[in-house]
Amino acid sequence: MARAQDGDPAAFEALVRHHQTRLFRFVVRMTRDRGDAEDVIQDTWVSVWRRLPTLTDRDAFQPWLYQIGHRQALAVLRARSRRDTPTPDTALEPPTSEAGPQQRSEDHARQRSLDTLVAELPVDLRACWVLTEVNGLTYPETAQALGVPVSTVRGRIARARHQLAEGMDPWRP
Amino acid sequence: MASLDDTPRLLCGRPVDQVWADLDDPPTAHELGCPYCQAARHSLDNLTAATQAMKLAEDADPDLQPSESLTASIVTIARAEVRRGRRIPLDHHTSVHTTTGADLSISEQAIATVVRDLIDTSRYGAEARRCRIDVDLPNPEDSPQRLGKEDAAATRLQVQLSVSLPAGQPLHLAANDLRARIADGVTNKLGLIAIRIDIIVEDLHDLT
Repeated sequence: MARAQDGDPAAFEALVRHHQTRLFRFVVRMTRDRGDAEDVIQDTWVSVWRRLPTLTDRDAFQPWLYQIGHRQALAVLRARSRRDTPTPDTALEPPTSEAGPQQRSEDHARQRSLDTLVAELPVDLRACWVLTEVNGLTYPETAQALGVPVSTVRGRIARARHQLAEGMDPWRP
Repeated sequence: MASLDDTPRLLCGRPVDQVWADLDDPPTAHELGCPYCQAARHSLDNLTAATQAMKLAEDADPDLQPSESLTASIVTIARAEVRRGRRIPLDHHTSVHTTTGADLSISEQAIATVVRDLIDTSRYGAEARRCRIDVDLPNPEDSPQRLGKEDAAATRLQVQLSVSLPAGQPLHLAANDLRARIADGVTNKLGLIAIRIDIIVEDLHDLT
């Protein structure tokens, strides 16, 4: 981190590779479009590279990274809304597993259902839920990333869980 | 407070996030007798299982891996925008550019890269972090006879380097060794003289 802040491109590349997958998945879930997500990711990292020397608390890097990525993703959503472009239907396709055909089909359908429910969450709830439940950020880190108080994060997550849990009830064993 | 009031509550009055927080514990007396809490526990258990399955599927799903070309393009942009820092003349008797326009300088970033590589390849297993390079202006008392003919012309540097060292080593010995390594390396590789080298031990790490 310190070396990347110092302008060492090799250290920056290591930083990108370390965080890229999780950041990418977060942005895909926000934009629901792989092409838009790739644009957002590129703009996010270029911004990180240019602003890295200004980051004083290295421990805050992850929320700072997601803060930039989240803002870039929201800009894409706003631009899409201005163009009145429908949100792409990119429910993520679950990969096949080793289970039998019937079990596989049920797992597949269950996962599609959760993907759709997540995609249908309001943007602010979706960002909170994905950052904490999927990407593993703490509540304070999520609050920092989204620029809201921790109490707001807690409330949004409770509402997201409530909505998702209700939506997944038909899949209860 | 307003945001807490937004928290969904069950018909028994308990907030949903409290049920979630207690999910890993055995049901309380209230939960055992409350149909709303029991239903909520089952729903949230089901969501937890589905979320775990979703995370596992993400790891195995090639569509959710960022492409190598995306990562490569980001790194290419970063390399094109490298913050090279100031230009430092190789010889303090000359300016950065000669009258013929030849560049007789080196970037601060290039010197820092050499310094960091010297540390990373040391026998101590040290890790270089931030590196600051400053030019030390010539001291009139340092006559060519005192420094040696070649040294008198070379640009003199002050180096400040933060490092992480392996735990369990005498720090002053390691720091002295790293100083000597930087001093020799900067002279041998770049023809510059590091007259002051500050090593800041910022962290200790275990050797893997």
